[in-house]
Amino acid sequence: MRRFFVYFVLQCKRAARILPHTLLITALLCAAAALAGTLISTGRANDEANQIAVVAVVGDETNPYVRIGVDALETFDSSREEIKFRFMDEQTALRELRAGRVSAMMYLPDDFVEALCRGEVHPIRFLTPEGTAGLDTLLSAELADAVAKLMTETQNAQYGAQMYAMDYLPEVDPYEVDNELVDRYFAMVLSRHRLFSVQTVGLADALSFAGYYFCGLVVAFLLLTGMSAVPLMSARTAELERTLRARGFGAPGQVAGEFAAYYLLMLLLSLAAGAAGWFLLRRSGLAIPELADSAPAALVPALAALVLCFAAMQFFLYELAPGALSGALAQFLCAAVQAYVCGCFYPYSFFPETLQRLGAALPAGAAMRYLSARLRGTSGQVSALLAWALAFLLLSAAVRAWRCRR
Amino acid sequence: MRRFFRWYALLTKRLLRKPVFLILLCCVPLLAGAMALVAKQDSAVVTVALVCDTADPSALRVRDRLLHSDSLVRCTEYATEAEGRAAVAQSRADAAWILRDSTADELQRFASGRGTRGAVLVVEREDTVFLRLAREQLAAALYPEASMALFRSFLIERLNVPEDAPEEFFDRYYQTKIMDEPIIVFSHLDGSALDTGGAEHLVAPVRGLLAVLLVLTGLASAMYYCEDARRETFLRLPAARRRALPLLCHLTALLPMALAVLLALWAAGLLGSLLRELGLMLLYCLALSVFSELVRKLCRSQAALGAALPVLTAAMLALCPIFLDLNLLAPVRHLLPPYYYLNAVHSDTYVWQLALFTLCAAIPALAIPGRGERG
Amino acid sequence: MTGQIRDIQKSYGAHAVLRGVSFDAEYGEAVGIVGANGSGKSTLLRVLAGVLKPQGGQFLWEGSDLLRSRPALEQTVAYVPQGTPLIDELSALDNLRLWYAPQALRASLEGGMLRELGVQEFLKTPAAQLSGGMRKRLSIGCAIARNPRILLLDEPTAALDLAARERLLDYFFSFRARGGLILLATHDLRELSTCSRCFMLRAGVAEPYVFDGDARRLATELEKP
Repeated sequence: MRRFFVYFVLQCKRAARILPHTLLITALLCAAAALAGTLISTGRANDEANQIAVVAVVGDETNPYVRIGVDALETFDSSREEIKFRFMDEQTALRELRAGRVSAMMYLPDDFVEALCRGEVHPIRFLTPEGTAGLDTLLSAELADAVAKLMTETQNAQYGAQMYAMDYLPEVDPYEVDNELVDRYFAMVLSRHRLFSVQTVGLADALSFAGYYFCGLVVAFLLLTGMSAVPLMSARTAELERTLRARGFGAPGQVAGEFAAYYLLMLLLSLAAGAAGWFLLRRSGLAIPELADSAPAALVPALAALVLCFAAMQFFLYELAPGALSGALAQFLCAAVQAYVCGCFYPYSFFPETLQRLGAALPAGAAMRYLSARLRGTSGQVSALLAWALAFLLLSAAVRAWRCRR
Repeated sequence: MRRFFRWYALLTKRLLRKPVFLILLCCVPLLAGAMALVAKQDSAVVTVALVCDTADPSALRVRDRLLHSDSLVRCTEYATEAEGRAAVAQSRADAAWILRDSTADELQRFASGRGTRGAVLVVEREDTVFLRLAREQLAAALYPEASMALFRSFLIERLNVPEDAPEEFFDRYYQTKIMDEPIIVFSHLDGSALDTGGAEHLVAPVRGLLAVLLVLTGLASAMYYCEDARRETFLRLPAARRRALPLLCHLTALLPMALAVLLALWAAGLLGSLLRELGLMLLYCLALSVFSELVRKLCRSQAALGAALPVLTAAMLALCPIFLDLNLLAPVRHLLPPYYYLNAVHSDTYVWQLALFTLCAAIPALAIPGRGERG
Repeated sequence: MTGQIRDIQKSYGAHAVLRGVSFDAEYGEAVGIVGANGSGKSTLLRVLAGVLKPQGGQFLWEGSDLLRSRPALEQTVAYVPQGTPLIDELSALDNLRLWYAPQALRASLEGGMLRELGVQEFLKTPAAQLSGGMRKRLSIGCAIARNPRILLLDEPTAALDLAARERLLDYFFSFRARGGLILLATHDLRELSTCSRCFMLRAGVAEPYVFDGDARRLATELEKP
């Protein structure tokens, strides 16, 4: 026991060497994140900062039918924030699209409306950059698809009314009929939100969107911080480990002493970052409903449990990949894959069921569930996190023992 | 030149003798390929609990449209309103759409411009942009019914069609010219089709994540070089050559990883024109070699470099066009190599910008003396 | 031919380690440098090797100051530090390939200085698996790729067994016999016994010291301030 304590203290001294750098740079990260959050929430950034997508529209802006379509698109979002539509000429639109300044381009042929009146379709082209479409592009395309359906039905009605007038009312001007019908359809399109009534029942036991992403941010941050310990963990030598073992201080004791110091380091770092982040969050005005009435101290036990699980995982990875290069890469791969699959970037509900089940089984998935539960005010399943931590530590000891025997 | 290639070969051999590094290289394309495979399965941006506890013909038609629609909104049918509401409360669904008994009447009232309580009750926990988008799809599913109702009203009121005319009469004229050709055609700039109902958005960030992985490879190589500098491994190298040695060392790590990344892009179905991808990747590796060396010189110690890794990673994930292109903190974005690389994939302008970035970063990277280096 | 070390000064911050070290050395000599721990032996060698920049002084050789002519310094001087900076993942042969052109490597292994060092015995072995003596021989082999005239050695036989030590010392004799100069920082009596002259570093300056084989006398001298 005394040897373990001496070893633990020595490891703490080693870890303390990198603590100042890590604290300073983590503080910079929190400040930058809060600055970005402040810019978003106070709207000091220009409009583009709030937008998920900007779509270029190429067509005759003065044509009333074109305006129906674009107005319909623009009434999608009453705050006109998330998806913006801008008229521009074709060359400018192509340039903006290739430069990535617009997510997509809608090209309305000049004779689009006239062709429709003749019963022909000269389709609108919805263009995106080459390669796979990101979420912003697909959301724009989805919206355009919805509006296209409205335009199709409108055109059916328009043509049917014209045909009836020509068949039965030759004295009536079909274009006058057309104009009147289009006006009615225009009004109907613009008021399509009255087709349904929306009841917002509140979150109850569920997590808000902002709360969900708060959890995602915390989990992603904790996953990534493992990389900061590369200089510390890559400086260990197998010779020392074997020497200690030869003197009766085997793998379990070594792992326990080193992990305790590593956990302490990561916990201090996370608490410091958490405190800085909390303070800046309050100042930025970003609203997370679940945190509105809670004190930061309430989340400290949850943070300690999360850090325990992730620290054990990171420690195990460092046992498997002890070098600087391999260590850093292994930490990032593990962090990035888990953060992505477990819903830190996209909500996990976006993924197919297979991935959702996989994500739920991973440590980051357990962490997301636990933190979500704590945010909602319930106790959450800390046992999953503890089980992962124990498993990783046992595996670490096994790997260390194997390395000492080599 | 021969010495350069000899050194490159030997330093690469050194890295490839590390089993863990080799395993990581193999993992990269495997993970990307697995992601692409799984992403082909059913997925949705919004999950909706659809309730149609009525025999109203309009409601049944709307239900069928929603259940068979190919979009980012996935509807799952529930038997009763209570079940739908429970699905929302328990977060099994993002929203519940409850089709009313009086769907046809409500649609008629809507089409006539009269007051209506809505044909569908939408139950949500909170309003988000994804749910607003989903409601557009709902509107598109309801609209044919409303359109038909308006058409019918217009023919009766304005064109003197008798009110008791059979439905088939109205249907015949409404379907005189069915626009069965799509009004909007979705495609990429190069003419290839855009799959709006697929899960491309799940695979799209993979290129960005791989770009960040390459940056980390360069930075980790910089840390590895710090160890070599401490052990004076390359002490015997003439000083004139030692300035450029770190760049060579970073390239020995970057190029094998770049190959793994290219394989990963191919496995994920993201690889474009091979020549362009190869050329761009080579330029990106050069940029990262220089960037890593600059960061190493600025950080001055391995501890500071290690501490910078999570910060730089977070900055790249947030500011570069990986998940969303939010156009935040533009001056900071321009300091990050993935910003140029990801935009250069489709834009020649950014290829030039990446080359310029490389040149601009190379000057201080080579000029700033490293810690402990003799002058 | 004489090499002249003149007034070498080196400080680490406010702490002056070398305060004007001066001595001469001839071709074919082995000059031993002794001193207490922290007296500046390694620092002196690193300054003469160009690893550290001195605050002042000259290293004159064949009419030029090597400390002001980087190419001449790198061509003339080879420095072998106390550790053995090799790339552990590569074999001995690959480590040599970093420093030798292919033809030069072949020639040296067949009948040159590498053959004298005996590195051909373990060419295929990874550097991580070499013994201390082998690592030291390999490290020297890497250092002499440019056929230097001056060898700077920092405790070259420390932690080596007797056989390995003698083998290295035999190589040093051979190097001297070809007209090379060896500057040797050492605590080892056997190494000192092979030196033609010795200097003791004390208070930042080099004083001539005649080593007569008396270890106790040497220890007493080292303890003096």
